Amino acid sequence: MSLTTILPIAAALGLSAGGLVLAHRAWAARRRAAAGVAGAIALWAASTAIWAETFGAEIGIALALETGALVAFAGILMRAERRPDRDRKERILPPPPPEPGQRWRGFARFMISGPLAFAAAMAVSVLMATSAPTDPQTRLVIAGLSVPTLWAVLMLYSMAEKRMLRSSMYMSIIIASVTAYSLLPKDPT
Amino acid sequence: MKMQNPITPVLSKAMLDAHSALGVFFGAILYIICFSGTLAVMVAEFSLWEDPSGPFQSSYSPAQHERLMENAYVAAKEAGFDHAIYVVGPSAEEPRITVTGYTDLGDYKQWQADAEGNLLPMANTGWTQFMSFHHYQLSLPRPFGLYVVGLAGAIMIASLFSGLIAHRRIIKDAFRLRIGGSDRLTNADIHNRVGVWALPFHLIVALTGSLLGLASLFIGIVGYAAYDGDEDKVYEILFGSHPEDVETVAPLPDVRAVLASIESTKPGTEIVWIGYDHVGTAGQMVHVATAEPGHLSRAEMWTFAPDGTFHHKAGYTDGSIGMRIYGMLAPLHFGTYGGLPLKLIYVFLGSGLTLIVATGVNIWLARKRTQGYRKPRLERAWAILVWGQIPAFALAALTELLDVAPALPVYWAVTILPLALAYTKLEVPTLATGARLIGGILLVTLAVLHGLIWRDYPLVDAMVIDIALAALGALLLWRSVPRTKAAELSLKAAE
Repeated sequence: MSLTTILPIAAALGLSAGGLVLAHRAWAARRRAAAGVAGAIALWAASTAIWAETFGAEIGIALALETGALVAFAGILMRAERRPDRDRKERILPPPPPEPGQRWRGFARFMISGPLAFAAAMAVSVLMATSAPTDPQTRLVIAGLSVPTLWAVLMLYSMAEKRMLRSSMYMSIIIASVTAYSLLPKDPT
Repeated sequence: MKMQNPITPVLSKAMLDAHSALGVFFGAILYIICFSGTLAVMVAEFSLWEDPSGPFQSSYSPAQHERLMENAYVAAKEAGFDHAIYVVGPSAEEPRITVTGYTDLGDYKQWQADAEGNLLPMANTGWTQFMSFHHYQLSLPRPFGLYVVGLAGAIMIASLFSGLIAHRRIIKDAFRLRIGGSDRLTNADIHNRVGVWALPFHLIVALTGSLLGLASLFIGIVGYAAYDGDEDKVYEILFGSHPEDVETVAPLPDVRAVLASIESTKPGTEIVWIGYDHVGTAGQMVHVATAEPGHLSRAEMWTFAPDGTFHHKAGYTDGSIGMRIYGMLAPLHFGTYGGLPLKLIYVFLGSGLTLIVATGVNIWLARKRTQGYRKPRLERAWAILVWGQIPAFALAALTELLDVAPALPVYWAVTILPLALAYTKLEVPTLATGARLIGGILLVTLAVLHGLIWRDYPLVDAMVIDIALAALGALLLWRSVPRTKAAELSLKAAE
């Protein structure tokens, strides 16, 4: 590795560490933190710019994120608080009585957040892959990336939604709408 | 004016419940995938370590490749694997040339080659191949294994999102790491700090891993929904058309012209692999994967006609936005774009992700315990699974090294059989210590035996890995040796 590469790497790591220090000071001060946060963001942006300038934007941005995490861990580990071990007496309670229908509710929630949410995510993604207003390759790849992302979001929604009927209805509407749209006659041009 | 936290306590509680449910139900799969993924980052280095006998070379000329290809074609034809032939390497990370011949059904046979283009039996890297296969497919048959791993990626994304929303003190605790005191607090601080500060990395590997796993399912469904069930049409949109099935025999392609064409278009481009599709027929095509400086993609794919005429390029470095993103997926997932230093960063951050999964379930178990609802069997099973991965991979490597058993059954036996101990009355720390002790002994034994067996092939990479394994083994042994009260006190005082 040449000096022309080592120096920018050292500068980028230094700026990243500087950003962390400013962020920590802002965090510790609690008041008038905005200036510190702005300074930290500026230093992190400068660090990212150096990584991108040295290795190209594609590689540089990825390296900035990864080394940023490393610098943060180093900083946090350096100021880790060690606490004396405590012996805590454990409470032992009888297991809670099972709620009636709990198993069925669990199974229903699993089905909604698993297969149904997956089908809804896949339906929207297939629609994107076939109809999004961009070139066919880009819409396929973006749609492919949206499958796990949408599934994750719908999974969380259905797990957090107390009324299962509502979440299952929303997802069924998504699936039915996309299926209906895909069955519509298309303009061959 | 005080800014209102946009995450309400109700939303936070709902997300925490979802986060816990995902972790508890899928913790074991996520842990196994994260652990094996951390190892799989170093797959090239482990391959050299497992069989350091060579032959190795850093590069080879177009003339040498031409000679190698002629030999490869003869050998592949004799063995019946001559539908397509791929020549991979050498690269800085793996200075080995691997030749793979395929049948039209996708079955394959592998050789390695020396600098003169002679074909030799494939290096014996059974453990490395298992470890990589295990991460890609969780040891399950294709395509189901890929789907399970893709599913795990989506669950990981959901866990990251829900963890972020559930964590109402994200800013307040951003720089706090409390070690000692209560186990639950230590686990929670490690879980939250690693989860927040490495979030971009974790999201990247989860998203890319999930897409890599679910890609074939998605393409099949798009083909079914939009192209009358013809998924080949979807592949054509992405990668161009297949070579024609023409059985007429033809001479091998002019690979010198192919390589000269790439060199004149992109001087200094690194050749990653060269593939010959429908080799030796009139419809044959040559594919060349290259790594260009400044780009994440390690496999920009050029396609040439047999006479060396340029046909098309996949566009991973200069094509549509979609293809450029596609080209970045695998390098971003495996960290193959920055040499050994980046791989070590990936190992560190990957260990962090593995730690998040382990501590996540620990926190849930501790919460249940403090609420009074102990789950002793689950606690024991989790400790056995978490600490059992090192002995499982180490024993699998040892049996492959001694050529006594393949890695796959050994790994699964060591992972599953000890779970029966969850039904005993053994304490969790005893089980964890036992697994650390066995892991430490196995790692030291593995390093020593490997060094002895391969002593006539002093490859630096292999020796460094032996030293690292021995050091990790020694650390595990040190952590598992029972200490006297005095030693414990002096250790605490020193800390």
